[in-house]
Parts: sequence; C-alpha cells; structure tokens
Amino acid sequence: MDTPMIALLEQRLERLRKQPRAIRFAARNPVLVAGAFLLLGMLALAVFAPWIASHDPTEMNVVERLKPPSAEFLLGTDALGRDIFSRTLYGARVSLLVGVSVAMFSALIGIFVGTVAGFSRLADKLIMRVMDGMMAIPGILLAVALMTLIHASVATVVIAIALPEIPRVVRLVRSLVLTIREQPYIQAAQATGTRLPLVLIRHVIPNLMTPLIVQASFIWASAMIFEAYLSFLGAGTPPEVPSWGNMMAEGRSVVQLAFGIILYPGIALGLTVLAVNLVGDGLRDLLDPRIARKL
Amino acid sequence: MTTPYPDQSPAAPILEVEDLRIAFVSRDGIVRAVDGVSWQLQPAEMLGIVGESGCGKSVSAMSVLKLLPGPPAMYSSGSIRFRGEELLTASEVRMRQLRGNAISMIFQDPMTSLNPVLTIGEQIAEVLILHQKLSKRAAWKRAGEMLDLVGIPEPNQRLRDYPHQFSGGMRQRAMISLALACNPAVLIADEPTTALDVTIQAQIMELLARLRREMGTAIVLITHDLGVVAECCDRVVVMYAGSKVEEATVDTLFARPCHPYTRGLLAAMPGLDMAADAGHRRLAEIPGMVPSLKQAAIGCRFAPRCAAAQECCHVTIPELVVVAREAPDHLAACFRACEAFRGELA
Amino acid sequence: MNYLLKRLLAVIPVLAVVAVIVFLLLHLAPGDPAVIIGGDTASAEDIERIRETLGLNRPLPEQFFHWVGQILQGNLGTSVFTGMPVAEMIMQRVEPTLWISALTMLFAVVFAVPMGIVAAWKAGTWFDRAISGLAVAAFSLPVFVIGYGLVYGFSTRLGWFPVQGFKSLSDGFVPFIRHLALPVISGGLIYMALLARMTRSTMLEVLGEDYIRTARAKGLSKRRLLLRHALKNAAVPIVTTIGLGIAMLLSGVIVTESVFAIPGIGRLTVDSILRRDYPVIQGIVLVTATAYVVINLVTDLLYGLFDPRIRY
Repeated sequence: MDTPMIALLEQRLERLRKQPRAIRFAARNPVLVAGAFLLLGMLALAVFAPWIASHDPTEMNVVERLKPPSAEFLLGTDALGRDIFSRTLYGARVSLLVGVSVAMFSALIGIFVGTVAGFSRLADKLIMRVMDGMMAIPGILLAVALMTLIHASVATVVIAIALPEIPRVVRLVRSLVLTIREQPYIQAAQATGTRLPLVLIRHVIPNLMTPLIVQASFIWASAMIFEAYLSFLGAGTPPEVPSWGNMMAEGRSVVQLAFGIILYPGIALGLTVLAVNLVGDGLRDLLDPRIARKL
Repeated sequence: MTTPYPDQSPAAPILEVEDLRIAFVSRDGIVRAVDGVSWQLQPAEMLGIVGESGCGKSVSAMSVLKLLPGPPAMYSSGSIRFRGEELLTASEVRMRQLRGNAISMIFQDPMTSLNPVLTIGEQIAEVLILHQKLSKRAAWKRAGEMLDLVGIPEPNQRLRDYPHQFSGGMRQRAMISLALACNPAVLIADEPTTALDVTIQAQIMELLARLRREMGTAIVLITHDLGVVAECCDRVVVMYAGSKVEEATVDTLFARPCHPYTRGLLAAMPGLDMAADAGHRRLAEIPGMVPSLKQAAIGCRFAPRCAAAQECCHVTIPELVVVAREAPDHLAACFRACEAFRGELA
Repeated sequence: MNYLLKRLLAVIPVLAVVAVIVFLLLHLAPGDPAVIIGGDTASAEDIERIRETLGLNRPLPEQFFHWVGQILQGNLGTSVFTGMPVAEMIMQRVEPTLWISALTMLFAVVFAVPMGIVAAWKAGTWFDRAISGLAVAAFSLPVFVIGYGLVYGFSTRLGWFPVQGFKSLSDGFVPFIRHLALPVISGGLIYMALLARMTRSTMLEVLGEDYIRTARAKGLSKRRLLLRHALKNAAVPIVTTIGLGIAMLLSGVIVTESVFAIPGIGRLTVDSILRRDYPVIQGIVLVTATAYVVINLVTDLLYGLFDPRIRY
C-alpha cells in the first residue's frame, strides 16, 4: 500500500510515460537536441548559401565600402565593399568543411596509431614518447610552424590543425584498446586462431566508436576555432577564401570603424561551435557517462 | 558531557523506527526501498538486521542519520525517534549535532571509508574537537586512548599514520574508534565485517561485543551473515524486499523460524554439522529472485518464491502478527506463521 | 629523491622529441623549404642565402646534430629576415608574455576553482547550470572575438581601459594593470572554463566517495566537508589540469597579444609568419614547449603536498 505522496508521484510518472517518444527523448537530452537543431540550422545555411545569399561573396564594390546594415546589405559591407551577410553564409561552408575534415582526419590517424600502440609493446614506448613531445607544443604554434613551411590552402590548413589534435586521439584510442584487449571475448577470438587484423576489425574498432565519436565532435568544434586563429595570425586559408577566420582577420584593421565585420562572423562561428559542443556534451551524457572522465 | 536530551525513563527504547517508508524516485519509476518498517532498539542492546542485498536494510540504517542523498531518496512517511525526539523532521543543524556524537555509524569497506589524505589522528581528533569542544591537544590525547582501546599497538605513533599505512582490519578498528570517540548512545554498524578476511571478521565482532559491554553502547548490526547474528545479537529483525518479515530474540529465531524466508536463509547457512557429514547434505537455496520494488505490493512479496504459498498470499499483504501466545515478542508477517511455529509446516 | 631524479630525467626525451619534430617539419615539408620561406619575390641569391643560414646544404644527420649542439649552447639560430640571433629576439619580447601568462593563470585559478567548488556543492541548481553554460560559451568563442568585444565595450564605449598596448611594471602599477586587464580576461576565460569544469567534475566525483559519507556521519558542516575533506582529495587532478592547460593558455595569449597590440611572443609569431621566418618560429616553439614541460614538472612535484600516498 502506498502513501498518498507516492501515489501522486506514480500518477505523474505514468503521465510522462504516455508522452510520445520524441518528446520524452528531448526532455531527457535537452542539450543534445538543442545542439542538433542549431547545428542542422547552420548546415542548412551552409548548403543553401547560394540561394539565400543576396550577393556574390567575392564581388567587390568600392563605392559601397564599410556600409552599415541596410535593406540591400543586411549586415553591411566590409572594407572592400563586399556583402558581409553573403560572406558569412559562404563562410559557414569553409568552417564546417574544415571542422569535419580535421575531426575525420585526426580520428583516422589516431585510430591507426593508437591501435598499433595498444597492441605492440615496442611501438607503444616510441609512439607515446612522440605524442608526449607533440602535446608539449601549444597547438596553435605547431600548426603555425607547419603553415609557414607549406603553401596555404584549405587542405593544408586541415592538416596543420589536425596535427596537434592527433596525440589526444591516440591517447584515448590506446587506453581503450588496452582495456578492450583484456576482454575475454578478444582473448577467445585470438585463442581460436582468428588473425589479428580480423580481431581488430570485428571486435576492437567497433568498441572504440562510441567514445571516439564524442571526442571527434569536440575536435570538430575546436578545429573551427583554430581555423579562425590561423587566419587571424596570418597563417590560415588563402585570403581569397571567404572563411570566417579571414573575414575577422580583415576586419581587424577597421575594427574601430565597423565592429560588425568581426562581430557577425564571430557570432556565426560562436553559434556553430556552440552547436557542435552541445552535441558532443549531449552525446557523451547519452552514450556513456563513464567515458566523460577520459575526455 | 553536554547532551541535552529530553528526560526519558530508563526502560524506554533509545531508538524507535516506526512505519518507515523510503522511496527512490527516478524517471524510470519509484523504487520502494523501505516499505513500512518498524523496529525498536533498547539501551545497550545489540539488534541484528538481516537480509539479502537490496532488501532495504542499509537504506533504513542510513536513514536514521538522514545520510541518504536528498533527491533521489525521499522519506514518504513514518517516524524515527531518538530518545523520543523525532529525527525525520529535525533540522540539518540538529542532525549534525547528533551525528558522530550521540549516534555513530561504521561502514562496510574500511579501505574506502577513511579519508586517504588525512592522518588517522586528524580524523579522530576532528570529531572530538567538533562535538566535545576539546582542545586540539586533548583531542589528540583522547584519540590515542581510543586507538589503544580498539587494540592498535603503539597508538600514539599510529595517530600520525595515513590510512594507506594501515591494514584492512586495523582500518576497521580505527573506524570503530572514530565512531565511538564521543561515546555515542547508538552505533549503527553497516556490514562491518563483510569486506574483511574471515579471521579478522571474528576479531572485529569480538571487539564490538567487548566495547558494547564496556561502554554500554546500543548497536544496530546490519548484516547478511546469520552466523554473526547468532553469536553477538540479542534480537533479530529479518527484512525482505523492503519489509520486515520476522522479528524475534536470537534464540527463538534460530530455534523456531516462522517466516518461510527466514527458514530459507537458515537452510542456506552452512552449519557446524555440515563439516561432520560433508558431501551428504547440500546447502539449500531459495529459488527465484528478489522482486522488483518498482510496483506497489499487492500480496506477500515473498510468495512467488515460497513453497508454502497459498492463494491468499498472492492477493493480500500479510500483517505482522505475534506467532503464538507463548512467544509474545516473536513476530512474523506470514499467514502460515502459527503453523510454522508449531512445527506443522514441512 | 629517486622519484625526483626520475621525473627530471623524463623531461629530456620529451624535449628531444620536440626538437626532432620542429627539425623534421622543415625537412619533411613538401617542396624546397628555402623557396617557400623566400616567398614569391625571392631571387636566386636570396634563396641561396636562406639555404646557407638554415644549413640546408649539409647532410640531414649532420644538420640535426649541429643544430642540437647549437641549441644546447643557447644558440637558437639566426633570423632569416633580420639576421639577428633568435634567442635575442625572443628575450626582447618575453616580458609582456610572461606577465600576461602569469596573471592569466592567477586570475583563472582564483576564480575558476571556487566557482567549480560551489557548482559541485550546488550541483543541479541554477548556479551550477549558469557556470556550466558559461563554460560551454567560453569554449565556443574565439579568444579574439571576446577580446574585441571587451575592447568595444570597456575601451571604445566606456573608456575604462586603454584600447591596446603594454606598459612595463616600471611605468607604474596602475598603468601596468590597466593595460593588462582586458588581455588577461579575454585570454583567461577559456582556461578558466576548463578549470572550473574540471574542478566541478572532480569535486562531484570525490563527493560520491565513501570517506565523504564517513565525514558526513561524523556531523561535519558542509563547508568543512568541502574544504577539508573533499578539496584536498580533488587537488591532484585540479593541479594536473592547471599544468596541462598551460598549452591552451599559451595559445590564447599568443592570439590575445595580436588583439591588443602587445609586443610579446605572440606578436613576434605573427611578424615571423608574415616574413616566413621559420628559424624564429622554431625558436618560439622550443621555448614554449620547454616552459610547458617545466611547469608540468613543477605541478607533478606539487602532488606530494596534497596526497600522502605519493612519496619521493
């Protein structure tokens, strides 16, 4: 027999249980759902940029320099008379592309190197030493050092940003592999003569996926910020690419006149990074609270 | 000592738990961890509370000091009275005055229950400075005496040690000295020997029994080990799935268990006679599993696992009743308790 | 003592790896490094001169050991643009960066650790949510957007702080602090967010431990529980984060200096990027990596203060 208080709570829970699944999911994972919606919105803006934009993002118009926001130029124009609104839309493409590429690139390298380290004692020592060394260099400086030596392009920027992220992925993958390889089912598979590559593909890599996806989303977020830093320091994508970083770097010289040139791409970048971070946080909480400690 | 308690006649129980109900609320449902449990503790008595893990025995013990974390744990009704004072509605400040001072607690795992970064002396002296208002010097002196009392050699040197420099048995001794430092009226021991080696277990139980005699502390011993209960306790409460199913003095309970669950527990206990004809008798087991506590009880919680269950057991909750006129303090919550008491149940 | 020695020796391979990485970057980069560093306008003589300065004509191992030998003697090479010794160029710029980094660290630790403690104490309340929200926001904004936002609000609009520049402490304390306040805040927010988050989660983990339950059963107040029993246990992970976060802090400082036109290492980096002056960048990488390694060595040695189980 229940007390009135418990009975009341039970009724309320019952009502919650009757809600549609989508609403229940959203109520339990508000961070993930909010982040996903925001990210989808940004993706849509990036994909449909040619249809939404009011101007060609690279079209210069010297007469219309540094115009405040108006009906024609929704967010005003920059020092070369280009439409900030259109450039911001196109900038989403570059930023998202760089972010996703860096995440995938560093994850792929990280899986490979981390797995090797996890399975080979000999390689492990060497690899972890190298990773320790890489982690000792502030990421921005490592990327800058590389960028001064190679020709700037979106692809080289991706490589330069991914390089300092790799040690973190390697460490995560290695620690996971070290745990997974002690699991009975891995040892059973090896004992029954399954060859190592097959064991890796069938049993180890799938178990890495959950924590790796969470970490990749955080790398994605920080890569977008790094792209902006590199452009801002003058070591990023070539100036003709309408990236958010380049827009803000160009806005530097006129920041006292037109704060908007930095502000609007900054807001767009902030919202996009926020969206990805929220998705990462949400995924982490949803998938496994225990891996939170390893990230 | 300054202990401002309301006047109490000496015969009155020191601790009374009455119709206590505790629920854990989560999105997945409400778990009725303790579902209407009552018991009383007399001064200087040792009461055993026995049951499987998850039966609510630890939860009800933690609730005496209100140590359960605030949500999700919820006290839905009942009463806990210490020397007549209601604790469930007492303020946090009042509870802090009682904790470690009038009512103390020791826990299952001595390896994790002591703070690793503070010395044993700091941890014992802290409670003395807080409750007894001793000076730091006096508190350390008293802490040394306490370690001596629980049988730790060279107590004054060991006070400066950190927990990791103590063995498991010594840590539990230190825990006990910490709990008894302020000479509490009630000690709640939550599975104090479970995590220890068998030989150490006996030493710790001996120590508790001796300290009870010397200091007159009433002890609530929570355990799943009926052997420990048989040796040390005066009275036993048997819990199953959040409810009290049987209560009796130790002798009666072991001689004439009335609830089928108690009988099952006793049958599952390896006895001395086992050693004699090992291989001939197998340990009995109780079939089935502990039921989910997410639904409110309709019938007897034990009925699905009970060989003696009748139709009424599944639809009506059996009340706790006196099993026989000649045993007025022997209670059981079973429709067939009287039959069992008279030995009529197979 | 044994541990101390071991820990000191462990620094060497890390720094060796850093040296190998910056050395190899130059030689593994696709194309002729001298041509890239020279840029589009360089003449054949310019490129030959760069090649000479960098010692690119000699065999690789010889170059490496010569280079390492020079570093060990304190010679970080020569700038291909100014012809000055790199070590000297860095020394000229080190003061503002040291000040910003130290003050940023102080600022972040002083605010973030108490914020994390209170957030853990009041987990689930509006305060906790606000701190977590601010932390995510700080992680999501580039340092320079925060910087320009602060400049726009507090300097351009309100006129409380100078827009940019740096004043040495010898110019007086007030001008010194007024010039550093905004850089420290804008560069420190992300580091602060990292620390506050880490403090909160570590404290929450510690608060779930058995010995905290014991401490509660002793009748201790919440305050004593947090500050005496929980914080000391949480100290080691928090101090570790302070050390590891230095890399993030330095990245932030380098960008911040650009925003506030502070003549520090960050500005030197930007100038060297424009001039493609790889020897200078190489030198900056080596110096910051050494600073990072040394600071983390110090934090490692601090563990013993907090955890009696660690003995040297």
